[in-house]
Amino acid sequence: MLDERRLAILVESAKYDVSCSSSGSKRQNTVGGLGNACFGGICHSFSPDGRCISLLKILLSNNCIYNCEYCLNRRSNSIPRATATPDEICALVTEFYKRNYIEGLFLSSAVVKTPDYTMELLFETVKKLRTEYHFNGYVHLKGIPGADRLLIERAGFFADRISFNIERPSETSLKLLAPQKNKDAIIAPMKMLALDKYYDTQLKRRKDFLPAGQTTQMVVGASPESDAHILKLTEYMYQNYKLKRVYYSSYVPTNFETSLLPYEQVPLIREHRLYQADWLLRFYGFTADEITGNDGNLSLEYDPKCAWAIRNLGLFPVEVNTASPEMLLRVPGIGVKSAYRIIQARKYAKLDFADLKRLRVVLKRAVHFITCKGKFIGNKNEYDIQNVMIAAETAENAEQLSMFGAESSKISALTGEL
Amino acid sequence: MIIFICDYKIDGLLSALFISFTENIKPEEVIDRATYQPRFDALIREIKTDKQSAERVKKALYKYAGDDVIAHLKVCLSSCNPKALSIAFNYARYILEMRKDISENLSQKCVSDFSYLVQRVLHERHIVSGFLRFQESASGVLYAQYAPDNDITSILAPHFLRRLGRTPFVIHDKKRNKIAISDGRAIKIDYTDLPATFALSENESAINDLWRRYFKAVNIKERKNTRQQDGYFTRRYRHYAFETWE
Repeated sequence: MLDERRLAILVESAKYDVSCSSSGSKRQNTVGGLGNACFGGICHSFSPDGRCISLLKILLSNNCIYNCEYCLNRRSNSIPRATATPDEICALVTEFYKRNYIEGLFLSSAVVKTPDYTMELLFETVKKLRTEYHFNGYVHLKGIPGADRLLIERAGFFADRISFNIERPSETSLKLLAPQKNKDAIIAPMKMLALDKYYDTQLKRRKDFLPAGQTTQMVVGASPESDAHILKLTEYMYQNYKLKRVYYSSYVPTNFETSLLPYEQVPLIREHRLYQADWLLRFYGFTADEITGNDGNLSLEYDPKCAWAIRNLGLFPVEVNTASPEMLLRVPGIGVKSAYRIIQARKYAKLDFADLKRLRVVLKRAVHFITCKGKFIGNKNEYDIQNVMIAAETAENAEQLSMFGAESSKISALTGEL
Repeated sequence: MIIFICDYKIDGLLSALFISFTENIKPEEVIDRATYQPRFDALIREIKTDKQSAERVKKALYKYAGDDVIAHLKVCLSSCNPKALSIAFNYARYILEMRKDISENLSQKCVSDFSYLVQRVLHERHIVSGFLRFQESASGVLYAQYAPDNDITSILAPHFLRRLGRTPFVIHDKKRNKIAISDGRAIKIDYTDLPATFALSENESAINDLWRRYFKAVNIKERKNTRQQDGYFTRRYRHYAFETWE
């Protein structure tokens, strides 16, 4: 079994990978096997950074031959190094899994010796897990750019999801910060995994090949690309590489010895807005061009859907009892679920504002953009709506002031000591 | 004002529906016999559970609202909401009145109340399926204890039966003294107020330490966001998630 010291080293080195989702796969348990996958994914814990812990996120090794400036595991960085064997990983996964600590494995690795050698180790681990340990839980494998395509393809028959990180939103940034990596080595396997031969027209994805598809990740804020650039790239990848998700990671400085990277952390709100915009691309029928404003960046004050609606006030208000599903989805305060509920409920009777409240529409946002039975109770002035949206956003993030807000006051209140 | 008193079981509810229709009475409330406290402002009607009439109502519900309706009513009854019985009654009565599936007519209060309650219970089952923690006994049986808001043990256990395969396990609801026991093939639901005493497996403590170490190592200190952690992983569910203990 892996010891605590090596576990900590290998996890510390893997933790900056954002993806931890265990969704998209319906893998069933086998007779005498352990585990299955839940299509919606399951979170098993939440760490103090607010991120969900669903998979055991670990590297096989952090002994990297590359020296990418932004990476914690770069060759020149003086950090403790460790390597685990495939058997140690498999044993840890099964022990954690049966105690319900995790939903599966997220396995990545630094590039050891060569990309092919590393990919072979990853493949061996996942194959062992499936065939010797009879593990049927979720497995997300990180692909190694530059590895042989046959190895990647074979791994796809054992893993639920494979991802290749495009790391930086532009080729220029990638060349500057990771000169040993090249764009084509990352893009080529993504293209391969999106090939039609892996798809079943009825099932949409072949049952025995990457049931949860492929994803990618990029770091935001370490290079000068705008949100518009990032979202355009995202949109292109969704359309051309059949990606399930694009993950964004706010830049956290880990290398203070280079002038190529900023020394300050990027605010989490930027990452949050990008995720909201990403949601609009995937489920709300928006295009990247529609989402970003004139300056190419997303508003940090309110969400991208509100920002779009305020820029296009001429299209509103819409009548909820007659509006098309596509238009309902564009109303701030109406999500995919509530749009569906509205469409179902209005078959029975005409809806008013009280009905919408019952359907769990966020009325404090929606009232400015809708009418119910011809009645409008919102605000028509663009400036006023902006203020209301900002106030709504602030209220959601506000904390109740406490007389004993500071830690010292709390202790003082309990002990009576001044 | 008329109040129905019945057994807090699916057959009790269906018997109440039968009486409501055959005698054309629409009660203001339906109350569990076990928790009923006498009231002076209402006319009380005690309903005896009758399997035959319950079966007739069940058939009608299946006919009008499809195969899932009884399962949904059972989920609603497992809610901790004190009005769950009335909410389930009103919903089922509305189906029988309209003689069709009305589950999507959410502008109706009885439908939206029912749908909300079912969602709450299913949501708790979903999150607990992640937050439950098993311990391995020396004999290889997995044991987990928890205290959910809703009575979800019987709908939670099948998830683990599918997942853990032939490994036997016990899920213990400490709040209701209810246990689900699986031998790896089937689940049995029982009640006990005895504390669970068993010897832990040899490597249980080492695995617990590894998990604690993992939880600590995977956190990015620079991105501290305990507010989000608290939002998703509310404190009442952390009682048995030992990795979060200070």
